[in-house]
Amino acid sequence: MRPFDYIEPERLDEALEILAADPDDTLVMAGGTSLVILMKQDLVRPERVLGLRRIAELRAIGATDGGLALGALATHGALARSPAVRAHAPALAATFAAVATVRIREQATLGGNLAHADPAQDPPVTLLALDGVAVARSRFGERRIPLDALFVDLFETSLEPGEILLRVELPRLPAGARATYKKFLPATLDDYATVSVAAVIATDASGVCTHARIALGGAATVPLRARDAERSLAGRRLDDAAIREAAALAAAATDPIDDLRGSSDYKRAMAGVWTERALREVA
Amino acid sequence: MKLEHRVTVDAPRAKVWAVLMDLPLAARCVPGTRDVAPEGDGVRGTLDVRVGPVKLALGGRVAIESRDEDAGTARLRADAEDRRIGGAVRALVDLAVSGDAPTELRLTTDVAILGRIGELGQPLIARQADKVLAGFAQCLRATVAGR
Amino acid sequence: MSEHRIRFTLNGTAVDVTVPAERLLVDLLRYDLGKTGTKDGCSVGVCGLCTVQLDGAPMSACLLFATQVDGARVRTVEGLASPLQEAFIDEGGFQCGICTSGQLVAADALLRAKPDATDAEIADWQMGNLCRCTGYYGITRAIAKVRDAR
Repeated sequence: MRPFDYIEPERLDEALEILAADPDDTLVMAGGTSLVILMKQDLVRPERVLGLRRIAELRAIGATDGGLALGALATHGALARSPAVRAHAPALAATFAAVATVRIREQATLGGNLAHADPAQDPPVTLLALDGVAVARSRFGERRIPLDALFVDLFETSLEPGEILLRVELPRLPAGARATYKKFLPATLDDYATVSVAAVIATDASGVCTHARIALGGAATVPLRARDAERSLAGRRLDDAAIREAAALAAAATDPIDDLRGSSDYKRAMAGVWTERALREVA
Repeated sequence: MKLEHRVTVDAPRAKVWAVLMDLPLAARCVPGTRDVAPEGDGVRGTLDVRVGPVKLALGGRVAIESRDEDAGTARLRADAEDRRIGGAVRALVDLAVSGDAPTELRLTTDVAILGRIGELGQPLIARQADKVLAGFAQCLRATVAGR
Repeated sequence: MSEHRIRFTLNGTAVDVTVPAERLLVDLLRYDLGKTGTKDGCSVGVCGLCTVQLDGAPMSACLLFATQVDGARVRTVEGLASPLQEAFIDEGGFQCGICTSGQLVAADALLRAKPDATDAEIADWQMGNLCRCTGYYGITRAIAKVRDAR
């Protein structure tokens, strides 16, 4: 591997200063699982790697006022085990537990995952369905980015040069809301999803839907909210017809990439199938 | 990898054709291009494009391989390399103009990726090539409109 | 370009070395420290041959820079003294042996973290350690045997 300069500041403001000084030739490293591979392939050649591992405040996981704040340097493993995460939504803990293998989960982080922006990743799908907001900071200030505005394109986020992700904040869930995350893996279990679906539903005393969020992974160049499908459920009972209609709308909203995990037609069809399964579970 | 783009320009066909055949001018319409200079019967330049986290600097040449003004068709050939990453891109762009104010331009591009760049994966490369060509088509429309 | 002094424990013994920034942990272990039990298979963190324990957690040494273990406790297969090793022999948990170091280090980490791991949890945890020879049943049987003996 090409030599580079490595620097591991202990404080966030130091890290932001270093990054601001040379944002084009400095790559930020969280766990390193994606970065090390790119560097081994010689596809990225940073002058400098800025390691965040000593900045303890970035690892914090905790309940906020009814909601949840997840530090960008928290590993998927720590998030999967966190009682606070499980208390907020067991499906969220299950989502982090679904990432890759145990070794990756112990090294890779939430922030690294979001910044990498692969639409087939697990955490962004459930976090989108839970109305997650990313908080990013640069030397010039802090910015809140709703997750559906964070993912811009395949492997591309709206983060500006010089910005580091600090945490993801999740708001309080509506009372009685149920959530699920479904990952479709037709081949090997350690892979990214072919398609995945996160659904969050709340209903009133008469079973009428008062809150619906449906997010899809592997279904486009970014993780996707199926907004037409969500709207179709508002004010309705989640009976067979409603669920089928929503699933069809979700599938229609997809624009999947043709790749080794499946053709775009196959992924679109599976998006419908798995949306239906997810909705039946939380109806 | 085959990509198709269509754009309609509210300008006479002759104008659209003239801009397309003016390679130094047309080349500047490719988003991310720099250091464009005529070379022989073509142009040389560098295209900066980001494919995911990887920055490519594709240096190369574009030339008109064949043209038929009456039929409104032409074929452009582009060859570019990224020496740092180790790879090359070869593209054949078949363009066809039809109609006359409005004029429709159709681009059919056949892209071959050689070497290391291929490691980035077809889906990602296709996406970026698509974006570059879409940007080119839009810029062309604006350039013609402005003349 | 930059060099870093790193201090960590390896199988309980203190290590104090200076490494270039780009030194990978797998290469530090194998070439600089003579611990060749850890293997480099796929080099992209998928196969599990390079599994080590970092503060008790299984990780891919091929995806870690040596600088990332500064201040940590590292354990490799050479540092395991575990009934797992006998169990693998008894239950046919290896043939060619190339994946065995990684399998043992991962399994040891599992049983430390979850001494009562269910069969499903064993399979899920070991899922990331690939084996081309045994068909996996000998491996999971060996791990379950050690779990049951506790």
